[in-house]
Amino acid sequence: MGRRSGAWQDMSSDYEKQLEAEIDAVLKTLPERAAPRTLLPRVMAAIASRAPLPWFRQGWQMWPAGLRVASLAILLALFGGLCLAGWELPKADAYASATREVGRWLSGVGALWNVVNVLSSTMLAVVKQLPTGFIAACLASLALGYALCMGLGAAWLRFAFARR
Amino acid sequence: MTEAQQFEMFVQNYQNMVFSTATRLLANQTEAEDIAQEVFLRAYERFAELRDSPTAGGWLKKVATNLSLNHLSRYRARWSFFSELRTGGGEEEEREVEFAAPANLEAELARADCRELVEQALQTLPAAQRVPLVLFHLEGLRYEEIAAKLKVSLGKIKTDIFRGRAALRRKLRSQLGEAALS
Repeated sequence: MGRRSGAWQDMSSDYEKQLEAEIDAVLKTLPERAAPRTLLPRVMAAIASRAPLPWFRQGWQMWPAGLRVASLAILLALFGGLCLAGWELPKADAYASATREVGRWLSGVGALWNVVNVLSSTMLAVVKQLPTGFIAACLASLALGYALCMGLGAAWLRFAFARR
Repeated sequence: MTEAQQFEMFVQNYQNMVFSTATRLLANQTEAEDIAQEVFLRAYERFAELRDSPTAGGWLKKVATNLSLNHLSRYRARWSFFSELRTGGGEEEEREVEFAAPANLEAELARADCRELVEQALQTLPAAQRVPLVLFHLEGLRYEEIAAKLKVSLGKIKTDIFRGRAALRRKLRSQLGEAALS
């Protein structure tokens, strides 16, 4: 029995070696496949579309050095001007009247803020009156809806981008 | 000659090799073309290094192989699963039944000028067999390297390659028979 098993293994090993050599010889003689004619134009078109953008459409780090220095100088001058204005303006006579004028303009905004404040405190009072179970159920349904949207979105993505 | 023209020549020199590598791994010409395009776009980014490098071909082949495998990896779980399923199936018996000494298949194919038959037979193999077979015989990788690349066990790689060889031989035999008859 042992001898038969050994002979079987030898035969199997011989067969495997022969098969490997045979398939190797067949595959190694395969010539290269011709690339489609569309490949080269596609590659060149993709490269052309990746051509660098003009400097003003790139990030600040990619701007030419001179322009970077100039833009930095302008920004510093603006910042300095603003600081100086902030320091000097309260001393000016016109400042008080200007402040009053601005306050008048913003009085409308103040009224709006009051309305929002009243509304939000009313909402808060209403919510405090609701039973805790109801609030928990609302929050749970919100979470469930969110999870459903996420799940459906993920399933759609998988389906849409699956290999056809 | 401008840089664009130089790169165009570079693509022309290597496009068949890159496309062949991707096609044989993916068994899909459209996807292989996409992969080849991506390979050359990456090459363009390193064209200054690759332009005169004697290893440019090897670099391109490696990138084409890796991108093709990455592309396949999305489906790897699926094809590994099917490959495992077949372990207990009918193909296991081919170890025991196909012991007849193979005639010289290469000579027969050369006589019949049937290289296209080989390509077709290779393309119809399941990915679980075709990919390791191509990596072993055409890319020259060792079993251990293939197992590491595909993240599967060495035993499974050996089995898949053996099955791939046997299946390829069987397909070629049947196609040669048909070709001889027609």
